[in-house]
Parts: sequence; C-alpha cells; structure tokens
Amino acid sequence: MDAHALNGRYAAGWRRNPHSLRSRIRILIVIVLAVALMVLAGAILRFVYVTEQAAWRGRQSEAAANAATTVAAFMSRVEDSLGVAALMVTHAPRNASGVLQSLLARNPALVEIVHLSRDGTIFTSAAVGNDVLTNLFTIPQSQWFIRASQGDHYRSGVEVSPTDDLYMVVAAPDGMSGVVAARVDMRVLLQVVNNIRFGASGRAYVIDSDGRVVAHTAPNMVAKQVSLSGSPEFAAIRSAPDHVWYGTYANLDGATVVGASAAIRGTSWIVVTELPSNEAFRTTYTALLALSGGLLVFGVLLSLALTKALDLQILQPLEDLRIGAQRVGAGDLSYRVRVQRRDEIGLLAATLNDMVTQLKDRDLQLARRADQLAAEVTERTRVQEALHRANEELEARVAERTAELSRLNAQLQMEMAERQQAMQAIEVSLREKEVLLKEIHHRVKNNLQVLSSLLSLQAGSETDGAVLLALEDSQNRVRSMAMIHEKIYRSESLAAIDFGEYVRDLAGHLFDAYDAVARSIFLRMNVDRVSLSIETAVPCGLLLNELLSNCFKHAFPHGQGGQISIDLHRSTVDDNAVLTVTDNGAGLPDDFDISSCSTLGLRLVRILVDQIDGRLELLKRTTGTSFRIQFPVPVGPDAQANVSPAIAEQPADTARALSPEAASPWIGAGRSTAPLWRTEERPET
Amino acid sequence: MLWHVRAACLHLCCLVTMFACAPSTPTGPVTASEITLYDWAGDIPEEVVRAFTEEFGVHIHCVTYESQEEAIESMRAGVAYDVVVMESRFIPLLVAEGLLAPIKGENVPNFKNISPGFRDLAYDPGNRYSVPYTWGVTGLIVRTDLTLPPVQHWADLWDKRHAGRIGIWMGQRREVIAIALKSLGYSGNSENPAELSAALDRLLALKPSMVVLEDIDPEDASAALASEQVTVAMGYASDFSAAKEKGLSVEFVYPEEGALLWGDVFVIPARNHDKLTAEAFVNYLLRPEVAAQIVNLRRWATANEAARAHISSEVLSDPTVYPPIDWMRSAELILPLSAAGQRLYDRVWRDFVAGD
Repeated sequence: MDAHALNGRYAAGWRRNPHSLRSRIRILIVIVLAVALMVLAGAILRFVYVTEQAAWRGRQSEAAANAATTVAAFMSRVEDSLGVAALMVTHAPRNASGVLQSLLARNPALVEIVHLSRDGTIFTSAAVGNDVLTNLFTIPQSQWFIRASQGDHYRSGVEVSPTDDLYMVVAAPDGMSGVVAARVDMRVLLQVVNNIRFGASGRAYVIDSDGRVVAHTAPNMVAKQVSLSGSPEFAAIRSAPDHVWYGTYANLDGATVVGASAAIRGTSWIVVTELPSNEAFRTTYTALLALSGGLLVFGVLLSLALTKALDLQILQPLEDLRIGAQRVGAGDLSYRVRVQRRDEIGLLAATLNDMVTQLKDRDLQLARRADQLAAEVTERTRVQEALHRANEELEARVAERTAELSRLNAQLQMEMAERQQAMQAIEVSLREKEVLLKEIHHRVKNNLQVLSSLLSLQAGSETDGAVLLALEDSQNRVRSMAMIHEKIYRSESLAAIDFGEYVRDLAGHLFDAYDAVARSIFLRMNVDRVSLSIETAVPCGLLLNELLSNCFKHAFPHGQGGQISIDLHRSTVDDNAVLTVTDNGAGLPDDFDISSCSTLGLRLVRILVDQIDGRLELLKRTTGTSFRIQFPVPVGPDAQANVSPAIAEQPADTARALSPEAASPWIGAGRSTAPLWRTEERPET
Repeated sequence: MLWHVRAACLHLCCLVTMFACAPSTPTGPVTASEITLYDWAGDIPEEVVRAFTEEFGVHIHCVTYESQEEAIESMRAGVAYDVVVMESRFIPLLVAEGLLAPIKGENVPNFKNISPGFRDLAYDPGNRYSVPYTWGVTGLIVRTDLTLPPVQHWADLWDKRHAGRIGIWMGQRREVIAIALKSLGYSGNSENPAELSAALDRLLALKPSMVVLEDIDPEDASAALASEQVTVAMGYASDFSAAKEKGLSVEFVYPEEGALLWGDVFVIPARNHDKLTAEAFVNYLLRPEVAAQIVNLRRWATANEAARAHISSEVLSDPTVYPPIDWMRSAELILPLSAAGQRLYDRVWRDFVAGD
C-alpha cells in the first residue's frame, strides 16, 4: 500500500482502522486486564473453594460419623432385644410366647423371633404377620442356626422377599444350648437412614463389606441388590483406615457428589454420606458468578476509560501531527501544528513546526539552485548538439571514403582477373612454343643426321684420302651438333643441357669413329655436372670434337697406344667452367704456337673459344699435349655444378658403355645399315 | 441323581397345562450370542431354552453329563461352560478349587424369588457362588401288596422279614451311610467317628438283606419294584410316580427319623464364555412362571417360592413332590463334609463294601 493510499485510509477514519495503534493498544489493554482479572478471580475462587471444601469436609465427616452412630445404635438395639429375649425365654419358659410378643411390640424393627433347641427344634416363636423362620425345614443347615449354635452373634445379609420386603436374620446363642433368632424388618433401618440429613439435600446410605447396598433412601437400591463393588471409590473406602474417606465421584444415580464414609461400629457395615457437588460448591459457584459479572463490567469500564485517556492524551495529538505532516507533505508550508503542550508530543509538534520553517527556507534555496541548473542544462544541450552535428559530418566522410575504396578494390580485382587470364594465355602460348621449339630441335637434329648420313654416303664413294678425312671430319662435326639438339629436345628444360652427359656421349661416339679400342687408346673422364645453354653448348661441343679428333689423328701415330683425359670442372670461386683435354701421346713441337697455327681444326678451336668468350691455353708437358679452355657459365637454376664421382681411368670400351644405347642410336647406325632418312620418334611433350 | 434322570423320561409325556404368563421385561444386558448349559439329560425343558433364545436372541448350547463326577472332571479339565446344574454338596469343593465364578446379585435380581429355606445355607454362605434350583427327598418306596410288616422308619429295613428284598442304590454312598446314621437317631451329616462306626456296623448288618440295584440294573426303582425282586427300595418322588403309573400298589414313605434332602443349584464356572449372559440366563430361569413351567413338566420341587402361584394344583397337592412341612421338619439336607469327615466316610464306605 503506498503512502498516499494509507493517508487516505487514515483520513477516512483512524478510529475504526483495525491496524491502528489505537486498536492494538486497546487489544493489549483488554488482554492485560483480562489476564489480571482472571488471575485475581482465580485466586479468590480458589480461596473460596478451599474454605468451603474444608467446611464441608468437616460437616460431612461429622454427618457420616453421626449416621454411623445412628445405625450402630439401631443394630445394638436389635442385638439387645435378642439378648433380652434369650434371657427371658430361658428363665421363664412357660410364658415364653408372651415375652416374645411383648418384645416384638416394643421393638418395631423385629417382625419374628424364634427360640430353638440345639438340634433346630423350635421351642417358641412369635411373629408379626407371616411366620418365615418357623416354617423352614432346613434350619439345621442354615448359616444363622449353625453359627449361633457355635456361639457367634450372626447377622445375615439383607434378604429380599418376592414382594420386595427387605429383612435380615440375626441369631445368637440363648445362653443355655439353644439359639435365639429374629427377623429384622429393614424398612425401619431405611427409615433411620432416611432421617439422616445434612445440608439442603445431603443423604446417607449403608453398604456391607462387599459394597452391596444394605440401606438407602431409595428402597429399590437395596431390593435390586445394587453394589458399589468394582467402583474406584469403593476400593478407596475399603482400603482407608476405619473406612474414613472423603472424595468427589459420580454416585449410583450418576450424579456428581461429594462423599464421606465411616465404619459402623459393631458391624462390618459402612455408612456413606453424599452431598450433590453443586450444593457443596454453591458458595464457590455464587462467588464465581458474582466475580465473573463484576469483573466483566469493571473490565469493560476500565478498558473504555483507558481508551478514552489514550485518545485524548496520545492518539488525538498524534492525529493532529499526522494531519500537519500530510498538509506539509502536500506542499502547504505555511501550516503550523497547533499542539500546545510541554511533553514529548508538544516537543514533537514544535520540532515539526521548526522543520516546516526550515523546509520553507530550503525550498527557496532549492528554487534558486534550480534556476542555475536550468541555465547549465541549456548550455550543455547546445554543446551537445554541436558535437552531434560534427559527428554526423565525420561519419558522412568516412562513408564516402569507404565507397571509394570499395570501388577501387573492385577494379583491382577485375584487373587481377584480367592479368590472370593473360597469364594463362601466356602459359598456353609458352607451352605451344615449347612444343614448337622441341619440334624444331628435333627437325634440326634429324636434318643434321640426314646431313651426316649424306656425308657418310659421300665418303663411301670417295677414294681420295684427304677428301675422305675431310668428309669424316665434317661428319663428326655435324654429329656433334646433332647430339646437342637431341640432348636439348630430350631435356626437361629447353634452355640448357647437361654438358657432362653430352661429353660422355660425344667421346663415346668419337672413340667408335676412330676405332680407339683397337688402337689401345684409353679414355679417362672426370666431368662435373654442368648445365650449358644452347648458345654455349654448340660451340663447346664442336670445340671438344675438334680437340678429341686432333688427339686421335695426331697424338698416337704408328699404332702407339695411350690415354686421353677429359676434365670438366666448375670453378668454385667464380662463374667459370674449365675444360681440359690431355693426352700422353707424341706431343707438339716445342715451337708450336697455338695462335699462329693455320690448320682448320685449331682455327675452328680458336674461333669457337672466342665465341664463348673463353680463353685457350696450351699447357706445357714433358709428354703429350694438354689444352685448357676456361669459359664463363651464366648462373641459372641448373648452373650449380654437381660434381659426379670421379671416374677412374678406364679403357675406351668401358667408357663407351657409359653412353646408353637408347641415347645414341645414331652411333651404330652411322656405321651400319641405318637409313639416312630415318628420324627419331618425337618425344612426348 | 442317575435315578431321577431316568425317571425324567417318563415324565416327558406328562404335559401339564401351562399357565399363561405375561413376558417380563428383560433384566440385565446380554453380551454374547451363544452360551453353554451343562446339565443332566432331560432336565431343563427345551421349551424353556427356546423361549429364552426368542426373547434374548441368545442361543443356548446344551451339553449333558451322566454324573456329577463327570461334570466336575470336565470343569477341572478346563472346558468352558456358562451355566452348570450342580448338586449343592459339591459347591465347597468347587469353590476351593477355584472352579466357580462369584455371581453378582445385582445381575440376578430374581434371586428374591428363592425361598428363605434355601438361602444362606451351609454349603454356600451368602449364596455367593450358587443359586438354588430344585430339591427333593430320598425316601422309601414300598410295595404295599407284598410287604407284610409296615415300613415307617429307616430302622425297619433291618427287620429280618424284609431280608433279600431291600433295594439299595450303591451309587448314592452319602445317602446309604446317612440311612444308617438316621436309623440310629444321628444326623445324616454326622462326622462323629463313634456314630460313623456304629453306622458301619448297621450297614454291615444290612448287607446280607440288600439287593444292589445296580446289579439287577433296572431303569429306576419302579422297575425293580415291578419285577418283584425288591419290595422296599430307596427312591425319589419321581420313582414313586412311575411305579404308580405302572399300576403297582406302592407307597412313598417319609421315614420318621427324617427323610434325606438333596438340592440342585445353578453355578457359573470360572472358565466361561460370557458371565453377564450366563447371569441373565439364571435370572430368566428364576422367573416365577419359568420356574413353575419346569416344575409342571418335570415334577421336581423348586426352591423358587414365587413360582408356587404358577405351579399346577395337582403337582402342589402331590405330597411326594411337595410334602407337608411337618413331614419335612426332621428331613436333612446332605451337606458337604470337612476334609477329616470325608476321610472317615471314605473309610466307612471301603469297610462296608469289603466287609461281610
């Protein structure tokens, strides 16, 4: 519930609000009063009850004792009559009947008296009304006769006749050897008991030692042989000394009573007196009613008075304060609470009024501060708007630049795509050209082979030795060129060939051509793996051809054997390669000058060395000749020299085996039956 | 007792006019749906039992015995019964053995109908355990046409002229000894050793003249008399009636020394099914009209004084059922014995049976 709603409800009626302080204090007052008054009432009632109980206990015990005395007196009167009867009939047997009659007349409780012999024969008898004892034929077997014969004073239980008459048989020895017995009308005892009165409705009755009712104000209680046996109060009575007991219980009629008991002297009987508990507690009940009523009225009045005082002293001023606070809360700062007191509430009111005054001042200060704040807020708003605008411009520029970059990027991607297409086209074109180049090299090789075959044919038909030699030289030169082209189109790269491998093939071919094995000329090769471009490889090939041909033709004259060494090394310090061809043959004349020699072979060697920017040296030796050519090798992907393991000196036929048969089909063909026009299968591109 | 059981069969056909009686309101609550009655065969009539069942809704399960000894042994064995008909002389024995439950007088208000002569007797002081039911006399039945000397005393049995014609029920040992005591002028319940010694001599003297009725096995005394094997026999009123019905010239003699009385009572065993219902049944049997109905049917005298008004005049005037009071003054109820007395009686009986 919010404060406003609470206020509204208070304004609607604070006196009726069950949650109000007023209600709670009122309930507290009522509870405290109720408890205090109840405790007080309880104490008073307890006092009244105890006092009354003590009084009744005394009175009732006295009544029980009196009743017991009365009943005992009755019984002793009966016993006395019996004794008198015995005395008189034994001393005056002749007038026994008259004596007994007069006894019956004097004691109304006795209705029959008999005097019997020791064997049960009746001497004399007298009765009022019917004879009962006289007409029994079981006297000798009866308890009363047997017990009296033995000298006891016998008293039977209360007997009920078919007509609900109540009687008792008493018997006693007659002092001689007979028995005197009498029938006692219990109505007389009932009358005796009925006359016992105490309080307004207190009654007494007699029970025997078994709890059976012997005499009662209600005769049918006796006739019905009602018994207390089995009830807790009877157990208590029986176990109490002298059967003197006092207690509250439900009696035979079912009513709650306060009872007291006492033994009847001379008998085994007990007298019980009973007083209805509402009578026994009458004073207590009256006190309870009076106290309840009085305290109720007193409590109500006190509670009302306390509530009124509470209203006037506390709650009404509090309500005024609340109204004041509500008015102030609603904004009325001119309102002042009108409580003129010096106590806590007065102080509270004064404080509230002070607070309102201060609030008013504070209100003014707040108004001023609010104006300042409003101005500040306006300024800040303006600055904020300017910042906002600048920000928007910046964002527009960024967007523009971003768009431009996107466009450039798209353009770039388009160009890249175009370039890629161009690259692919170049790639295709390159591949086509490679194929074409391989084809060209193949054709050139074939053509050179045809040319070689033609020179071979021509040599076959020539008889002049010099011409024959020239043709063979030319044929070897053409072969050496054709081998270059073959190596090129068989190689992976069309730009360069493995020159080492070429040297082995060429040397093999020349050893065949000059029948070196038969002449006991051996070849020793120590060749690195050196890649050479076609521009360098062709002159180098021709150059080697010339040097080796020169060796075979001139170094070993007159069937002389020997060794030719070929060394090809790549320099480890620069991009040069060194080719050395050495023989241990006849050697050159000492005055031989390589630069002035005019033979075709050496002229060709010089020209070819120049062509490859190389340098030719003739190394001086004691035996044989050694030519050393140093030439530059451009650095390429394959240019790095891989030095093959050195090949030991070997005979020329072994060296020939180094050339694979498939790699040089023309070697055999050139000397046998291979057709001139035969061309190699074109290698797969 | 065996005797009057047999006689009862003869009386079954003797239906006497029933007195109209207004049904009494039930007294006392019943808390069981069935109780057990343990009784002589043919004692309490079926009509009586059925009427109780109709009124109270309680079924009576009837169990019969042949002798008191059998009944006592059954109770000792722990068999539960609710109401037992018992001969009064056994009550102290049963009480001492704890076999009986005390009867609450409050639950049996019809006890007031019992005659003063049967209240508070020696066998049950204050009637705490028993309610008197029937009674009768053991006397002598005499064939008047065959007997020469008149029989008026117990002592007449020792008259030699009756030798070999005197019927004695050896099963009734207390009665047999009592006859001898009475013939000598002593109490039939005497525990005096000298008197008992004299009685033994009397019995031994009688022995040659006796016909032991169990040996000839008649249905009852009347049958023995009819066969003319005996001319004088111990007997009950019912035997006398039976003999008369047989057309015999007989007389029922109350010996002048005093006839012998017997009494039957109702008891409730300690081991029972429902004591409250048992008490309600006993109370019902004590109603004057119910007690009279039994008397009219069975011809046993009742201890119920209030029933007299409902008993047929024919039964009331029958001196063998209800003898005049003067005849009864000398009669004696057979009472229980003390332990010492019992031992004496046992010795007398042993010597009597063994002697000659």
